[in-house]
Amino acid sequence: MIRVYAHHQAQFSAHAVTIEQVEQHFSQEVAEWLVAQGICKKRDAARIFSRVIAALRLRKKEETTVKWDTFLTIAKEEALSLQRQMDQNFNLTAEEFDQLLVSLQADEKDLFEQVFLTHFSSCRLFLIRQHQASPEDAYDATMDTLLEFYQRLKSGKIQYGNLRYLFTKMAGQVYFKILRKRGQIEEFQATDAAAPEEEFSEETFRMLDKAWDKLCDECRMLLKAFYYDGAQLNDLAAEVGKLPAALRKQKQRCVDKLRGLFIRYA
Amino acid sequence: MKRLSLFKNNSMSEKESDQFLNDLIRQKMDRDTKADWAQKLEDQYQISRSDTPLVAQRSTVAYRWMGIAATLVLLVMAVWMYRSQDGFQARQLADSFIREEQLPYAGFRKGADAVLEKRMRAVDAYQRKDFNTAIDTWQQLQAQPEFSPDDQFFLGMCYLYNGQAAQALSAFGKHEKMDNPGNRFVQERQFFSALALIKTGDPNTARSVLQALEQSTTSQALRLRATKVLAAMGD
Repeated sequence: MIRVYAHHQAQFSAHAVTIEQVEQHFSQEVAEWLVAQGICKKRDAARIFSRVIAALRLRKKEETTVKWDTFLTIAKEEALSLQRQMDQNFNLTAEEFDQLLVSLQADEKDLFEQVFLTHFSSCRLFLIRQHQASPEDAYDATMDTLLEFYQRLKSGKIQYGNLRYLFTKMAGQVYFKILRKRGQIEEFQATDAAAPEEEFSEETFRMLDKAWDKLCDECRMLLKAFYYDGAQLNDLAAEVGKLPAALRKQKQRCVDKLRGLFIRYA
Repeated sequence: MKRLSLFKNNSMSEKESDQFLNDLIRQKMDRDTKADWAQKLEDQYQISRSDTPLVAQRSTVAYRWMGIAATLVLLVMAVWMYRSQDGFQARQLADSFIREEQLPYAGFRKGADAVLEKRMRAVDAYQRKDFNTAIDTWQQLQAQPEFSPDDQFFLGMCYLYNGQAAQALSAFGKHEKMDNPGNRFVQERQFFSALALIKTGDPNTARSVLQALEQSTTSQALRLRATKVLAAMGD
Protein backbone atom coordinates (compact mmCIF):
# COMPACT_ATOMS: atom_id res chain seq x y z
CA MET A 1 0.00 0.00 0.00
CA ILE A 2 2.83 2.33 0.82
CA ARG A 3 4.30 1.65 -2.57
CA VAL A 4 0.92 2.51 -4.06
CA TYR A 5 0.83 5.67 -1.98
CA ALA A 6 4.36 6.65 -2.93
CA HIS A 7 3.67 5.79 -6.55
CA HIS A 8 0.49 7.84 -6.67
CA GLN A 9 1.91 10.68 -4.68
CA ALA A 10 4.90 10.82 -6.98
CA GLN A 11 2.76 10.67 -10.10
CA PHE A 12 0.17 13.15 -8.89
CA SER A 13 2.81 15.50 -7.49
CA ALA A 14 4.65 15.40 -10.76
CA HIS A 15 1.46 16.63 -12.48
CA ALA A 16 1.45 13.42 -14.44
CA VAL A 17 -2.13 12.16 -14.33
CA THR A 18 -5.37 13.50 -15.71
CA ILE A 19 -8.79 13.04 -14.11
CA GLU A 20 -9.63 10.41 -16.68
CA GLN A 21 -6.42 8.48 -15.96
CA VAL A 22 -7.11 8.56 -12.22
CA GLU A 23 -10.60 7.25 -12.85
CA GLN A 24 -9.53 4.55 -15.28
CA HIS A 25 -6.37 3.23 -13.68
CA PHE A 26 -6.33 4.01 -9.98
CA SER A 27 -9.90 3.61 -8.71
CA GLN A 28 -9.39 0.30 -6.91
CA GLU A 29 -6.01 1.09 -5.35
CA VAL A 30 -6.87 4.61 -4.32
CA ALA A 31 -10.19 3.46 -2.83
CA GLU A 32 -8.28 0.87 -0.78
CA TRP A 33 -5.79 3.50 0.24
CA LEU A 34 -8.58 5.81 1.45
CA VAL A 35 -9.80 2.98 3.69
CA ALA A 36 -6.29 2.16 4.94
CA GLN A 37 -5.74 5.79 5.88
CA GLY A 38 -8.99 5.87 7.84
CA ILE A 39 -10.45 8.56 5.57
CA CYS A 40 -13.57 6.49 4.94
CA LYS A 41 -15.10 3.09 5.58
CA LYS A 42 -14.68 0.26 3.12
CA ARG A 43 -18.33 0.30 2.07
CA ASP A 44 -18.05 4.02 1.20
CA ALA A 45 -14.65 3.99 -0.51
CA ALA A 46 -15.89 3.55 -4.08
CA ARG A 47 -18.59 6.16 -3.51
CA ILE A 48 -16.07 8.67 -2.14
CA PHE A 49 -13.78 7.99 -5.07
CA SER A 50 -16.62 8.71 -7.53
CA ARG A 51 -17.57 11.85 -5.66
CA VAL A 52 -13.97 13.10 -5.75
CA ILE A 53 -13.83 12.48 -9.49
CA ALA A 54 -17.12 14.34 -9.97
CA ALA A 55 -15.89 17.21 -7.81
CA LEU A 56 -12.62 17.38 -9.75
CA ARG A 57 -14.54 17.48 -13.02
CA LEU A 58 -16.59 20.38 -11.73
CA ARG A 59 -13.49 22.28 -10.70
CA LYS A 60 -11.11 21.42 -13.49
CA LYS A 61 -11.08 20.82 -17.17
CA GLU A 62 -10.91 17.18 -18.20
CA GLU A 63 -7.40 17.43 -19.63
CA THR A 64 -5.95 19.18 -16.57
CA THR A 65 -3.73 17.05 -14.39
CA VAL A 66 -4.57 16.28 -10.78
CA LYS A 67 -2.34 16.90 -7.79
CA TRP A 68 -2.27 14.24 -5.11
CA ASP A 69 -2.77 16.82 -2.34
CA THR A 70 -5.82 18.23 -4.12
CA PHE A 71 -7.21 14.74 -4.50
CA LEU A 72 -6.68 14.03 -0.81
CA THR A 73 -8.22 17.30 0.32
CA ILE A 74 -11.34 16.70 -1.75
CA ALA A 75 -11.52 13.07 -0.58
CA LYS A 76 -11.46 14.20 3.05
CA GLU A 77 -14.13 16.84 2.38
CA GLU A 78 -16.33 14.34 0.59
CA ALA A 79 -15.89 11.72 3.32
CA LEU A 80 -16.93 14.28 5.90
CA SER A 81 -19.92 15.40 3.86
CA LEU A 82 -21.05 11.81 3.28
CA GLN A 83 -20.70 11.05 6.97
CA ARG A 84 -22.77 14.10 7.86
CA GLN A 85 -25.43 13.11 5.35
CA MET A 86 -25.53 9.56 6.71
CA ASP A 87 -25.74 10.78 10.31
CA GLN A 88 -28.86 12.69 9.35
CA ASN A 89 -30.34 9.62 7.70
CA PHE A 90 -29.90 6.83 10.24
CA ASN A 91 -26.54 5.86 8.71
CA LEU A 92 -28.15 5.20 5.34
CA THR A 93 -26.70 6.40 2.07
CA ALA A 94 -29.11 7.58 -0.61
CA GLU A 95 -28.60 4.27 -2.44
CA GLU A 96 -29.29 2.23 0.68
CA PHE A 97 -32.42 4.28 1.27
CA ASP A 98 -33.60 3.36 -2.24
CA GLN A 99 -32.91 -0.30 -1.44
CA LEU A 100 -34.97 0.08 1.72
CA LEU A 101 -37.91 1.42 -0.30
CA VAL A 102 -37.66 -1.47 -2.73
CA SER A 103 -37.63 -3.98 0.14
CA LEU A 104 -40.69 -2.35 1.70
CA GLN A 105 -42.53 -2.54 -1.60
CA ALA A 106 -41.84 -6.27 -1.55
CA ASP A 107 -43.39 -6.38 1.97
CA GLU A 108 -40.01 -7.17 3.55
CA LYS A 109 -39.54 -5.51 6.91
CA ASP A 110 -36.09 -6.87 7.82
CA LEU A 111 -34.00 -3.96 6.56
CA PHE A 112 -36.41 -1.41 8.02
CA GLU A 113 -36.26 -3.13 11.40
CA GLN A 114 -32.49 -3.43 11.24
CA VAL A 115 -32.19 0.31 10.69
CA PHE A 116 -34.96 1.75 12.80
CA LEU A 117 -35.16 -0.52 15.83
CA THR A 118 -31.51 0.39 16.45
CA HIS A 119 -32.58 4.01 16.86
CA PHE A 120 -35.66 3.33 18.96
CA SER A 121 -33.88 4.04 22.21
CA SER A 122 -32.43 7.38 21.10
CA CYS A 123 -35.84 8.63 19.93
CA ARG A 124 -37.44 7.52 23.19
CA LEU A 125 -34.75 9.36 25.14
CA PHE A 126 -35.32 12.45 23.00
CA LEU A 127 -38.99 12.52 24.02
CA ILE A 128 -38.09 12.07 27.66
CA ARG A 129 -35.48 14.82 27.57
CA GLN A 130 -37.21 17.25 25.24
CA HIS A 131 -40.83 16.91 26.34
CA GLN A 132 -40.45 15.38 29.80
CA ALA A 133 -42.48 12.39 28.61
CA SER A 134 -42.83 9.44 30.95
CA PRO A 135 -40.82 6.37 29.83
CA GLU A 136 -44.07 4.56 28.95
CA ASP A 137 -45.51 7.45 26.94
CA ALA A 138 -42.18 7.92 25.20
CA TYR A 139 -42.14 4.21 24.34
CA ASP A 140 -45.70 4.31 22.97
CA ALA A 141 -45.08 7.49 20.98
CA THR A 142 -41.87 6.10 19.49
CA MET A 143 -43.60 2.84 18.60
CA ASP A 144 -46.52 4.69 16.95
CA THR A 145 -44.04 6.89 15.06
CA LEU A 146 -42.15 3.85 13.91
CA LEU A 147 -45.35 2.42 12.49
CA GLU A 148 -46.37 5.66 10.84
CA PHE A 149 -42.90 6.13 9.42
CA TYR A 150 -42.99 2.58 8.07
CA GLN A 151 -46.33 3.20 6.37
CA ARG A 152 -45.26 6.53 4.91
CA LEU A 153 -42.03 5.03 3.61
CA LYS A 154 -43.95 2.17 2.09
CA SER A 155 -46.31 4.51 0.30
CA GLY A 156 -43.39 6.62 -0.98
CA LYS A 157 -44.33 9.71 1.03
CA ILE A 158 -40.90 10.14 2.60
CA GLN A 159 -37.80 11.15 0.72
CA TYR A 160 -34.12 10.93 1.57
CA GLY A 161 -32.82 14.10 3.18
CA ASN A 162 -32.92 14.41 6.93
CA LEU A 163 -34.79 11.33 8.08
CA ARG A 164 -33.58 11.62 11.66
CA TYR A 165 -35.04 15.12 12.03
CA LEU A 166 -38.30 14.07 10.41
CA PHE A 167 -38.59 11.02 12.64
CA THR A 168 -38.04 12.92 15.90
CA LYS A 169 -40.37 15.72 14.74
CA MET A 170 -43.07 13.15 14.02
CA ALA A 171 -42.43 11.47 17.37
CA GLY A 172 -43.02 14.81 19.12
CA GLN A 173 -46.33 15.25 17.27
CA VAL A 174 -47.40 11.70 18.06
CA TYR A 175 -46.57 12.27 21.72
CA PHE A 176 -48.73 15.41 21.82
CA LYS A 177 -51.50 13.46 20.15
CA ILE A 178 -51.35 10.94 22.99
CA LEU A 179 -51.55 13.76 25.55
CA ARG A 180 -54.46 15.40 23.70
CA LYS A 181 -56.33 12.13 23.61
CA ARG A 182 -55.94 11.83 27.35
CA GLY A 183 -57.05 15.42 27.81
CA GLN A 184 -53.71 16.42 29.32
CA ILE A 185 -53.34 19.27 26.86
CA GLU A 186 -55.99 21.35 25.16
CA GLU A 187 -57.09 20.31 21.71
CA PHE A 188 -57.66 22.77 18.93
CA GLN A 189 -60.99 22.08 17.30
CA ALA A 190 -60.40 22.48 13.62
CA THR A 191 -63.61 22.80 11.65
CA ASP A 192 -62.46 20.31 9.05
CA ALA A 193 -61.02 17.83 11.54
CA ALA A 194 -61.61 14.20 10.65
CA ALA A 195 -63.93 12.21 12.87
CA PRO A 196 -62.00 10.33 15.56
CA GLU A 197 -61.36 6.75 14.64
CA GLU A 198 -63.35 4.11 16.49
CA GLU A 199 -61.24 2.19 18.92
CA PHE A 200 -62.13 -1.44 19.32
CA SER A 201 -62.10 -3.23 22.63
CA GLU A 202 -59.55 -5.81 23.73
CA GLU A 203 -62.35 -8.37 23.60
CA THR A 204 -63.02 -7.56 19.93
CA PHE A 205 -59.33 -8.00 19.11
CA ARG A 206 -59.23 -11.28 21.03
CA MET A 207 -62.13 -12.56 18.90
CA LEU A 208 -60.59 -11.25 15.71
CA ASP A 209 -57.22 -12.87 16.47
CA LYS A 210 -58.89 -16.24 16.96
CA ALA A 211 -61.09 -15.85 13.88
CA TRP A 212 -58.15 -14.64 11.78
CA ASP A 213 -56.04 -17.65 12.75
CA LYS A 214 -58.80 -19.96 11.60
CA LEU A 215 -59.06 -18.36 8.15
CA CYS A 216 -57.32 -20.07 5.26
CA ASP A 217 -54.08 -18.51 3.94
CA GLU A 218 -55.75 -17.39 0.74
CA CYS A 219 -58.45 -15.46 2.62
CA ARG A 220 -55.93 -13.92 5.00
CA MET A 221 -53.79 -12.72 2.10
CA LEU A 222 -56.76 -11.39 0.18
CA LEU A 223 -58.33 -9.54 3.12
CA LYS A 224 -54.97 -8.12 4.20
CA ALA A 225 -54.17 -6.93 0.69
CA PHE A 226 -57.60 -5.33 0.27
CA TYR A 227 -58.27 -3.87 3.73
CA TYR A 228 -54.75 -3.23 5.05
CA ASP A 229 -52.52 -2.64 2.04
CA GLY A 230 -55.27 -0.76 0.23
CA ALA A 231 -54.93 -2.74 -2.99
CA GLN A 232 -57.68 -2.46 -5.61
CA LEU A 233 -59.59 -5.62 -6.53
CA ASN A 234 -58.92 -5.09 -10.22
CA ASP A 235 -55.16 -4.93 -9.62
CA LEU A 236 -55.23 -7.94 -7.33
CA ALA A 237 -57.27 -9.88 -9.91
CA ALA A 238 -54.72 -9.08 -12.61
CA GLU A 239 -51.94 -10.16 -10.29
CA VAL A 240 -53.42 -13.56 -9.53
CA GLY A 241 -54.84 -14.06 -13.04
CA LYS A 242 -58.51 -13.99 -12.11
CA LEU A 243 -61.45 -11.96 -13.27
CA PRO A 244 -62.29 -9.03 -10.98
CA ALA A 245 -65.83 -10.32 -10.52
CA ALA A 246 -64.53 -13.72 -9.43
CA LEU A 247 -62.14 -12.14 -6.97
CA ARG A 248 -64.89 -9.95 -5.59
CA LYS A 249 -66.98 -13.06 -4.94
CA GLN A 250 -64.00 -14.74 -3.31
CA LYS A 251 -63.47 -11.71 -1.08
CA GLN A 252 -67.15 -11.81 -0.08
CA ARG A 253 -66.86 -15.49 0.80
CA CYS A 254 -63.82 -14.68 2.99
CA VAL A 255 -65.73 -11.88 4.74
CA ASP A 256 -68.63 -14.29 5.39
CA LYS A 257 -66.21 -16.86 6.76
CA LEU A 258 -64.72 -14.24 9.07
CA ARG A 259 -68.20 -13.22 10.19
CA GLY A 260 -69.06 -16.84 10.97
CA LEU A 261 -65.89 -17.29 12.99
CA PHE A 262 -66.54 -14.03 14.81
CA ILE A 263 -69.97 -15.32 15.87
CA ARG A 264 -68.44 -18.61 16.94
CA TYR A 265 -65.82 -16.96 19.16
CA ALA A 266 -68.12 -14.25 20.56
CA MET B 1 -69.52 -2.13 19.47
CA LYS B 2 -72.60 -1.19 17.55
CA ARG B 3 -70.83 -1.72 14.25
CA LEU B 4 -69.51 -5.06 15.44
CA SER B 5 -73.05 -6.22 16.21
CA LEU B 6 -74.29 -5.01 12.85
CA PHE B 7 -71.42 -6.84 11.15
CA LYS B 8 -72.09 -10.07 13.04
CA ASN B 9 -75.79 -9.84 12.20
CA ASN B 10 -74.97 -9.19 8.58
CA SER B 11 -76.98 -5.99 8.78
CA MET B 12 -74.50 -3.78 6.97
CA SER B 13 -74.31 -2.72 3.36
CA GLU B 14 -71.22 -3.88 1.47
CA LYS B 15 -69.76 -0.39 1.71
CA GLU B 16 -70.35 -0.20 5.46
CA SER B 17 -68.94 -3.67 5.94
CA ASP B 18 -65.86 -2.74 3.93
CA GLN B 19 -65.36 0.38 6.02
CA PHE B 20 -65.77 -1.57 9.23
CA LEU B 21 -63.36 -4.32 8.20
CA ASN B 22 -60.96 -1.73 6.92
CA ASP B 23 -60.80 -0.10 10.36
CA LEU B 24 -60.75 -3.36 12.27
CA ILE B 25 -58.19 -5.23 10.18
CA ARG B 26 -55.92 -2.18 9.94
CA GLN B 27 -55.89 -1.80 13.71
CA LYS B 28 -55.27 -5.52 14.15
CA MET B 29 -52.35 -5.49 11.72
CA ASP B 30 -50.85 -2.43 13.38
CA ARG B 31 -51.18 -4.06 16.78
CA ASP B 32 -49.55 -7.24 15.47
CA THR B 33 -46.69 -5.28 13.92
CA LYS B 34 -46.13 -3.31 17.11
CA ALA B 35 -46.25 -6.48 19.21
CA ASP B 36 -43.68 -8.04 16.90
CA TRP B 37 -41.39 -4.99 17.16
CA ALA B 38 -41.86 -4.86 20.94
CA GLN B 39 -40.72 -8.47 21.15
CA LYS B 40 -37.70 -7.75 18.96
CA LEU B 41 -36.83 -4.66 20.98
CA GLU B 42 -36.91 -6.72 24.13
CA ASP B 43 -34.98 -9.69 22.70
CA GLN B 44 -32.38 -7.87 20.65
CA TYR B 45 -32.03 -4.47 22.33
CA GLN B 46 -33.21 -5.15 25.89
CA ILE B 47 -35.77 -2.35 25.63
CA SER B 48 -39.17 -2.84 27.21
CA ARG B 49 -42.04 -0.47 27.79
CA SER B 50 -41.80 -0.70 31.55
CA ASP B 51 -38.06 -0.12 31.86
CA THR B 52 -36.72 3.32 32.66
CA PRO B 53 -33.96 4.56 30.39
CA LEU B 54 -30.81 5.60 32.20
CA VAL B 55 -31.30 9.29 31.55
CA ALA B 56 -34.73 9.26 33.13
CA GLN B 57 -33.43 7.71 36.31
CA ARG B 58 -31.33 10.74 37.17
CA SER B 59 -33.11 13.12 39.47
CA THR B 60 -33.45 16.79 38.69
CA VAL B 61 -31.30 17.49 41.76
CA ALA B 62 -28.55 15.41 40.22
CA TYR B 63 -28.97 17.34 36.97
CA ARG B 64 -28.68 20.63 38.81
CA TRP B 65 -25.47 19.54 40.53
CA MET B 66 -24.11 18.20 37.28
CA GLY B 67 -24.88 21.53 35.64
CA ILE B 68 -23.05 23.45 38.38
CA ALA B 69 -20.09 21.09 38.20
CA ALA B 70 -19.96 21.36 34.40
CA THR B 71 -20.05 25.16 34.58
CA LEU B 72 -17.17 25.18 37.06
CA VAL B 73 -15.14 22.80 34.92
CA LEU B 74 -15.77 24.94 31.85
CA LEU B 75 -14.70 28.08 33.72
CA VAL B 76 -11.49 26.44 34.91
CA MET B 77 -10.81 25.16 31.39
CA ALA B 78 -11.48 28.58 29.85
CA VAL B 79 -9.06 30.26 32.28
CA TRP B 80 -6.46 27.57 31.69
CA MET B 81 -6.83 27.77 27.91
CA TYR B 82 -6.62 31.56 28.03
CA ARG B 83 -3.45 31.40 30.08
CA SER B 84 -1.78 28.74 28.00
CA GLN B 85 -3.20 29.48 24.60
CA ASP B 86 0.13 29.11 22.82
CA GLY B 87 0.80 25.71 24.32
CA PHE B 88 -2.75 24.60 23.62
CA GLN B 89 -2.62 25.57 19.97
CA ALA B 90 0.77 23.95 19.54
CA ARG B 91 -0.46 20.73 21.14
CA GLN B 92 -3.50 20.77 18.88
CA LEU B 93 -1.34 21.24 15.82
CA ALA B 94 1.07 18.55 17.01
CA ASP B 95 -1.90 16.23 17.43
CA SER B 96 -3.16 16.97 13.95
CA PHE B 97 0.28 16.35 12.44
CA ILE B 98 0.56 13.08 14.31
CA ARG B 99 -2.96 11.86 13.58
CA GLU B 100 -3.82 13.14 10.15
CA GLU B 101 -1.24 11.63 7.86
CA GLN B 102 0.91 8.69 8.66
CA LEU B 103 4.48 8.95 7.40
CA PRO B 104 4.82 6.27 4.72
CA TYR B 105 7.45 3.64 5.45
CA ALA B 106 10.37 4.20 3.16
CA GLY B 107 13.08 2.49 5.14
CA PHE B 108 15.71 -0.17 4.62
CA ARG B 109 14.25 -3.47 3.36
CA LYS B 110 17.24 -5.79 3.17
CA GLY B 111 18.92 -8.19 5.58
CA ALA B 112 19.23 -11.85 6.50
CA ASP B 113 16.10 -13.85 5.77
CA ALA B 114 14.91 -14.05 9.38
CA VAL B 115 15.59 -10.37 9.96
CA LEU B 116 13.97 -9.39 6.69
CA GLU B 117 10.89 -11.42 7.56
CA LYS B 118 10.57 -9.72 10.94
CA ARG B 119 11.16 -6.33 9.41
CA MET B 120 8.44 -6.95 6.83
CA ARG B 121 6.07 -8.01 9.60
CA ALA B 122 6.84 -4.82 11.48
CA VAL B 123 6.36 -2.71 8.33
CA ASP B 124 3.11 -4.48 7.57
CA ALA B 125 1.82 -3.83 11.09
CA TYR B 126 2.97 -0.21 10.84
CA GLN B 127 1.04 0.22 7.60
CA ARG B 128 -2.06 -1.29 9.15
CA LYS B 129 -1.64 1.12 12.06
CA ASP B 130 -1.28 -1.84 14.40
CA PHE B 131 1.42 0.00 16.28
CA ASN B 132 1.58 -2.39 19.25
CA THR B 133 2.51 -5.28 16.97
CA ALA B 134 4.94 -3.10 15.03
CA ILE B 135 6.62 -2.00 18.28
CA ASP B 136 6.88 -5.60 19.52
CA THR B 137 8.35 -6.78 16.24
CA TRP B 138 10.88 -3.97 15.95
CA GLN B 139 11.86 -4.50 19.57
CA GLN B 140 12.57 -8.17 18.79
CA LEU B 141 14.85 -6.98 16.01
CA GLN B 142 16.75 -4.57 18.27
CA ALA B 143 19.22 -7.24 19.44
CA GLN B 144 20.14 -8.16 15.85
CA PRO B 145 23.19 -6.61 14.22
CA GLU B 146 21.00 -5.82 11.21
CA PHE B 147 18.79 -3.51 13.30
CA SER B 148 19.19 -0.34 11.29
CA PRO B 149 18.78 3.37 12.03
CA ASP B 150 15.67 3.24 9.81
CA ASP B 151 14.22 0.55 12.09
CA GLN B 152 14.99 2.72 15.10
CA PHE B 153 13.36 5.77 13.51
CA PHE B 154 10.15 3.91 12.61
CA LEU B 155 10.06 2.35 16.08
CA GLY B 156 10.00 5.92 17.38
CA MET B 157 7.23 6.82 14.92
CA CYS B 158 5.19 3.85 16.17
CA TYR B 159 5.47 5.09 19.74
CA LEU B 160 4.46 8.56 18.66
CA TYR B 161 1.41 7.38 16.69
CA ASN B 162 0.53 5.09 19.58
CA GLY B 163 0.33 8.06 21.95
CA GLN B 164 3.57 7.12 23.78
CA ALA B 165 5.40 10.40 23.33
CA ALA B 166 8.01 9.79 26.06
CA GLN B 167 9.02 6.43 24.54
CA ALA B 168 9.08 8.09 21.11
CA LEU B 169 11.55 10.66 22.43
CA SER B 170 13.75 7.92 23.85
CA ALA B 171 13.66 6.03 20.52
CA PHE B 172 14.48 9.18 18.56
CA GLY B 173 17.36 9.82 20.99
CA LYS B 174 18.77 6.38 20.18
CA HIS B 175 18.33 7.10 16.46
CA GLU B 176 20.37 10.26 16.90
CA LYS B 177 23.20 8.32 18.55
CA MET B 178 23.34 5.59 15.91
CA ASP B 179 25.84 5.57 13.13
CA ASN B 180 23.56 6.65 10.29
CA PRO B 181 25.34 6.76 6.94
CA GLY B 182 23.49 9.09 4.61
CA ASN B 183 21.72 10.70 7.60
CA ARG B 184 18.41 9.18 6.63
CA PHE B 185 15.32 10.53 8.43
CA VAL B 186 17.40 13.00 10.47
CA GLN B 187 15.25 16.00 9.61
CA GLU B 188 12.06 13.99 10.01
CA ARG B 189 13.31 12.80 13.39
CA GLN B 190 13.92 16.40 14.44
CA PHE B 191 10.44 17.45 13.45
CA PHE B 192 8.68 14.51 15.10
CA SER B 193 10.90 14.82 18.19
CA ALA B 194 9.66 18.39 18.51
CA LEU B 195 6.05 17.16 18.33
CA ALA B 196 6.84 14.55 21.00
CA LEU B 197 8.42 17.26 23.17
CA ILE B 198 5.29 19.37 22.86
CA LYS B 199 3.20 16.34 23.79
CA THR B 200 5.37 15.67 26.86
CA GLY B 201 5.09 19.29 27.98
CA ASP B 202 8.52 20.61 27.01
CA PRO B 203 7.71 23.44 24.57
CA ASN B 204 10.99 25.27 25.09
CA THR B 205 13.16 22.41 23.86
CA ALA B 206 10.63 21.80 21.07
CA ARG B 207 10.96 25.43 20.06
CA SER B 208 14.79 25.19 19.82
CA VAL B 209 14.58 22.00 17.78
CA LEU B 210 12.04 23.51 15.40
CA GLN B 211 13.98 26.75 15.01
CA ALA B 212 17.11 24.77 14.16
CA LEU B 213 15.16 22.64 11.71
CA GLU B 214 13.56 25.68 10.13
CA GLN B 215 17.02 27.06 9.42
CA SER B 216 18.71 23.90 8.28
CA THR B 217 16.15 21.72 6.53
CA THR B 218 16.32 21.09 2.82
CA SER B 219 12.70 19.98 2.72
CA GLN B 220 10.23 22.73 1.98
CA ALA B 221 7.36 20.69 3.41
CA LEU B 222 9.17 20.19 6.70
CA ARG B 223 10.13 23.86 6.90
CA LEU B 224 6.49 24.82 6.35
CA ARG B 225 5.33 22.47 9.06
CA ALA B 226 7.99 23.65 11.50
CA THR B 227 6.99 27.27 10.84
CA LYS B 228 3.35 26.42 11.44
CA VAL B 229 4.06 24.77 14.77
CA LEU B 230 6.32 27.65 15.82
CA ALA B 231 3.58 30.11 14.88
CA ALA B 232 1.12 28.13 17.00
CA MET B 233 3.60 28.41 19.87
CA GLY B 234 3.54 32.15 19.53
CA ASP B 235 6.85 32.66 17.71
